[in-house]
Amino acid sequence: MDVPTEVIERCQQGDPLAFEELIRLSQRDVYSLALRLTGNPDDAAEVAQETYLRLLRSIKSFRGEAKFSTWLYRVTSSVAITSLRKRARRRHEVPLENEEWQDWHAPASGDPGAELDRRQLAERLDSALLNLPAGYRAVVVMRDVYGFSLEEVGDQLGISEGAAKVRLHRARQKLKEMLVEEAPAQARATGPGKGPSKGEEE
Amino acid sequence: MECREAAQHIPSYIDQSGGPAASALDAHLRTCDRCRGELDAYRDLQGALAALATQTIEPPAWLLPATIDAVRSRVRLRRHVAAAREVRDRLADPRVAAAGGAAILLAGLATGAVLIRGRRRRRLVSGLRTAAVHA
Repeated sequence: MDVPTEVIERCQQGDPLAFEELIRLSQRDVYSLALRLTGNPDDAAEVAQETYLRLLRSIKSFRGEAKFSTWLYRVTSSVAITSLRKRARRRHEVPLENEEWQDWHAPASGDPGAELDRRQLAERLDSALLNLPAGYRAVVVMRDVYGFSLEEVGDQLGISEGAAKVRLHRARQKLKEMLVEEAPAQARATGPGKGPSKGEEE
Repeated sequence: MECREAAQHIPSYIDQSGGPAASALDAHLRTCDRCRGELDAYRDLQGALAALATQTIEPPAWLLPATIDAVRSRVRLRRHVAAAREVRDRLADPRVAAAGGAAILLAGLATGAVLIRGRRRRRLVSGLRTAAVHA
């Protein structure tokens, strides 16, 4: 995301054209984070729109202490978490704060024989993330993809930093089950040393 | 430390946050190829996840114009609300309220004066008519 400081300053002065420019420059990143958090294109679009409406009110409070992208990601994730909570209530799903996914098993994903170039890995990762339960997905997306601190992750989800840490580790285990344990098949298909997990070859 | 226990600690070990199990895990990793492989797998996963942040997903084509429309509507609404607040604040100003009160009082006095004058005129006309009849 590359939003020039001059555009941000004009937005803070109430220039509507600058705000539209800011939307054009950042919407793809905002939508990507929203989709990775909500796991649903319709919800992601709604979150992206709501993020800019919230930004319209709050952009004057941006002081430049963090990078603008970091700040915008925080706003986006906050809107997305609110949306996930509403969705969980509406569909009677497990609330984000709960830890009721202990017995959840990852579905098989992707073609185990496929060669893992960077793009394919990204696509498979995105697909694996979409298959994670919302509470796991949120923590791993915020922490491992977008680099939020565990404290911030806990704050956003309404759980303690320790609980966020435990959940992150479980989420990584689940993701690895979905992705990396396919390595033996990949190693057989592509030759030794090409799979992402050397340990699995033993 | 056994491999089973090591496997529980590896997902947090990649954060390099230390912890009581870190030194025991260090020792285990020095002697166990399998668990070192596990650690490498988690590091690969972490690297791939971090790389995702730069790989964005194309939003639907309708989203940009819809968002701009929504923002424009909100800006218009905020302007109307601001204008309405300005009117309300002006009315709440004590000087404006005093001037309004004075205007209402003056209007009341003027109306009263007109009514009293009309009544006197009606009485005068009525008196003249009675005098004319008697004459």
